[in-house]
Amino acid sequence: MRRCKRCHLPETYETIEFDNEGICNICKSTEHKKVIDWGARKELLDALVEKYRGKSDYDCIVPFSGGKDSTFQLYYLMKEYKLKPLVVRFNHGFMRPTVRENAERTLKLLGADFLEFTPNWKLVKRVMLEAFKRKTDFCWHCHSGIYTYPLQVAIRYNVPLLFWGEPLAEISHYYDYLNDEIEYEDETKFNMCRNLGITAEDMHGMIDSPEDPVDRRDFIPYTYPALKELKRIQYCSVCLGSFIPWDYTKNSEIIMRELGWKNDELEGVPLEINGHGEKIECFMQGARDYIKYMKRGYSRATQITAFHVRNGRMTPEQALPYVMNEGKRPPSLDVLLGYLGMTESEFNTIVRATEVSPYHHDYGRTDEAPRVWDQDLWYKEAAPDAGASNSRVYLKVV
Amino acid sequence: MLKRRVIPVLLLRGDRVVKGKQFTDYRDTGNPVMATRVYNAQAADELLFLDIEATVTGRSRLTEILSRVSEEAFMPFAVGGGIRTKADVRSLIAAGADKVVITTAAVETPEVVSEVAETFGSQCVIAGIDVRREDGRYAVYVRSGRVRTELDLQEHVRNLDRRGAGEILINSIDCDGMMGGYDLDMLACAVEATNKPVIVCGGAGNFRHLEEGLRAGAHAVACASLFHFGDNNPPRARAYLKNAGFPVKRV
Repeated sequence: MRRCKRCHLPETYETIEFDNEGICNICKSTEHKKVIDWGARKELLDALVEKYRGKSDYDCIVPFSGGKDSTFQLYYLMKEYKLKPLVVRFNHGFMRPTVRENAERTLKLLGADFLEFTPNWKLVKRVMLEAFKRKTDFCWHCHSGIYTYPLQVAIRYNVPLLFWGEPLAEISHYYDYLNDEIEYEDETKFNMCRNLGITAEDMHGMIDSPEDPVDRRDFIPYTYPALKELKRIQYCSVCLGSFIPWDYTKNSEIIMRELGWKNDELEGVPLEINGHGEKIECFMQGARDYIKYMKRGYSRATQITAFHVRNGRMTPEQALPYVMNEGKRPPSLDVLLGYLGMTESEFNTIVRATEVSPYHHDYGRTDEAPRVWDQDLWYKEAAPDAGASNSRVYLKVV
Repeated sequence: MLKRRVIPVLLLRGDRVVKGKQFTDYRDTGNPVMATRVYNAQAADELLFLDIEATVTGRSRLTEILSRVSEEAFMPFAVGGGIRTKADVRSLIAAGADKVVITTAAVETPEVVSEVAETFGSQCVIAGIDVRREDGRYAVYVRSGRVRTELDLQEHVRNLDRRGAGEILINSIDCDGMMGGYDLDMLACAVEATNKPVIVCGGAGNFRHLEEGLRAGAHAVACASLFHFGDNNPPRARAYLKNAGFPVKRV
């Protein structure tokens, strides 16, 4: 596979393009990040905050998982601007113990009101299976819910200002720093690159059937609010990373020092490259990253070392061994198979069909990633026996 | 140099969008208005709506869906399915369509292609051809692939070209929904017979297939399953084709 000469991201990485020197567009974009007038951006942020301060029951909404980015968002807005936020968490169902403790400590130390919403698990399982069969991405409920639910809360509480965290320009080329864009988390961005191209209206019709009807109301938490509702509250939904330079490593150092935020093992990724605690909030992350590797031939370690290379914390040579040594089967895959109700061979058949050219996965690989410490604590459901015939029903519709 | 286009195809059935295999075995893939909103957000080059029940049922529902679609679509979109007359075209354009696809009528009453081209311009007319490979030659089918004609494929393409079609949409029934790649011989056969842009359809399952279609002379690659049943979207397709050296829309 062709890879960026600097960060090693391969040609199967989404929206990647290479210039004549073989450098990718994401590296180019983050170079431009250094020349953005961040002082002027900070003044924009000052003005934005003052425009909304004190106008509703809360100054803003902070969508919050308890991971590194949302914790930093909350910390920064409360320390720098003394804002009174309503903190909102859409619980995807896979919260790990360390992140629960981190969230509780953060909320207690900072002193913020907190709303948590956990959607119907039976529906979650059905849409996980549907999204996996169609897109080999079982996270539709999370991709959608984390962006739609906080906006619904904004409308209910009449709080127009929402602060999201990292700018997408850090990780893809749907948005870039070159155009000096402010990234609005709006419905266009949601449909472009958040929801797998499947809206709640689409998904409802995909799984609703006379034999197994689904209540349309079960999809309300995943439905993007109507534009006229958002305009009524004069919503402003932006990424904090459009106003201050986002640096994962520095941000994590700050929340570790000031809030006692703790890092955790991330399945399939050596701890020494993930000191900033990326993606430790979700116990399905290892399985998710494994699917990405099977389809695209790269995974989380490559993405993490790419950040380090772009930010000058690693050389391309130092990153290379990590890039070449990922893709091991994660033990969390067994937990996922239990939720999806399928055998590993059925799972492999579905993933194989969506392989992204020119990558070819070696299905003979047998190396396993180490089990993370908390796997015994996760909620589990039994996967079907590989010999059982009733599990075949899932393959017929693929 | 003309930009190469990637065109998502949306098959309308009732109030929903579906996708099947070889013109049968349809599966729900969403709501047409929301699907348009998604493709609009993803800056698709164009959209192609084909009303697969149109020759069987009425069309007031179609114009109603199209007027809602046109509120969402800031890209050109074409509509096909059951178009018989200039009046049909007029009502679809009034509902917001930018182009029409004429397939069955282009065989049964080919003068309608000329009439529409003269009235609305060739840029508005896509002549559709549904093809099956039979005994080493290509047979042209009409009425959603149910009725075989005796037409020679290249002769049909030349005829449609002469009658003023602005583009030719060539669709392989054998490859439809199979995701194994376009029928490149069929495509080459059509490309050889005309200088008009040819849109190839039927069979794309990954981005390499799109590249193969463009290399074989297609001006645009149409696809449905690729986006419905894979981890793909138009921006990713464009990035892939750009890396492969094709001129594509810059977003």
